[in-house]
Amino acid sequence: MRTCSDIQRDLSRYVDDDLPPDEQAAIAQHLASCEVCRGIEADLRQIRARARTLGPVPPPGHLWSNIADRLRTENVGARSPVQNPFRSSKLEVRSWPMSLSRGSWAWLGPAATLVVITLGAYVVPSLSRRAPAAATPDNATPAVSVQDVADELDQALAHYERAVAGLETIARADGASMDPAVSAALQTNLTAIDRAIAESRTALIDQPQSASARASLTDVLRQKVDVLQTTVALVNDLRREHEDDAAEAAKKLGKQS
Amino acid sequence: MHTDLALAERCRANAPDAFEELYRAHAPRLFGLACRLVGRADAEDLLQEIFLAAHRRLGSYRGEAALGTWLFRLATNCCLDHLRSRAGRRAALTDELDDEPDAAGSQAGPILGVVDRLDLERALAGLPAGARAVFVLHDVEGFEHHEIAELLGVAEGTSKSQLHRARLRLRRVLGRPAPAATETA
Repeated sequence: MRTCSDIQRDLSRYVDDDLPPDEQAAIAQHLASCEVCRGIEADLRQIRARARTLGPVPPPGHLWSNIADRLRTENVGARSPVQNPFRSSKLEVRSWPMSLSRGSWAWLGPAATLVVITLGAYVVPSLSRRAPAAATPDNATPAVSVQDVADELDQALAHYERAVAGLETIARADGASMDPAVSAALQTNLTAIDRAIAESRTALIDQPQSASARASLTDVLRQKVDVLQTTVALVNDLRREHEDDAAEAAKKLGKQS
Repeated sequence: MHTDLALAERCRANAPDAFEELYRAHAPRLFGLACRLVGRADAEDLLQEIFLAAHRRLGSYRGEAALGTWLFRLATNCCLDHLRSRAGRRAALTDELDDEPDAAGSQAGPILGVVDRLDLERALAGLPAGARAVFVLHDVEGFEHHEIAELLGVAEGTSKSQLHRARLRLRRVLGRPAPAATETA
């Protein structure tokens, strides 16, 4: 007679249908009458099913530029292997201060969350819906006009600015002040990204049919979302008292762009 | 496959934008793999190394497998090499959960509600490297145990037991009550 402990040891193989038929049947019979083991089986099935939905993760926009630079530098097989006409907008983003006080970040959690929700819900779907794929040939006809995309972008950025303004009000009401060094680094990063966004938009207006120009704008917007997503991760880590993870996230923020 | 071969040939010939096309088509999947296997901070550097290695090795691509599969295998090996170098000679990648008790608890019924994707990502990041590698390769990426065993250099049974322990660890972490939200306003 197998005990619950014996059954539980084989539950992963059971949910994977990886046991001989007689053992599968024996476990199924046990589960029919054991609520504890049935609960574990249900949880394992859910974890397995959820894991299969973990999809691709868009890399930060600057990574392609780094790779293109290194290919040029290393001259790997090279006859001008990679071209990026918009490298002039390369960002120089300051590192974030590594010493973070918990109180100084108190207001930033909801702020960054709202900003990311705004950008994530508005900008990124809008771009993916509206903007042609980066690999589209330069002579392809765009699905929508440049003006449509520019209008949507303006609206998205206006949403972003309103979100930040509202959350600064929350911060003042809470009486918590942001660490000046952290605030300065955040502002420097966002200013650099905003400058690159402006340059990319200008390039797109100059060359509305250019896939590279579209890709460049999309990349830098993704980069902005990335900075803010990392901020959210940092805040969450601080909240959960994982300061080691928070330092890693802060280090990463320094590396972005 | 013809398209893959054509793209690989264009990359080999240094056709303008060809390698960027390859990058944009495959980078998100490879970056997801790298983030889950080695952590996001290292994943950025590693993704660059993966594509630089791919650029150097495209000459050996003959179209036997899809280009995405070829790249994915290359990326997996780069990530596992990175994990091994990080672990050094202290321990084999798959030994880290061996001392974990198998205890799954005695509560009747499931302990998990609907698992949020971000919570799962966070819990996954907390697994030891070896168990995380097995879980990611099997449950996220769909590798078979014999393939994982070959990649990690362990017995197939080890891969199965590590997967079970990883799932139980995730269940325990995800089943904990969420910490109370911080009042901010």
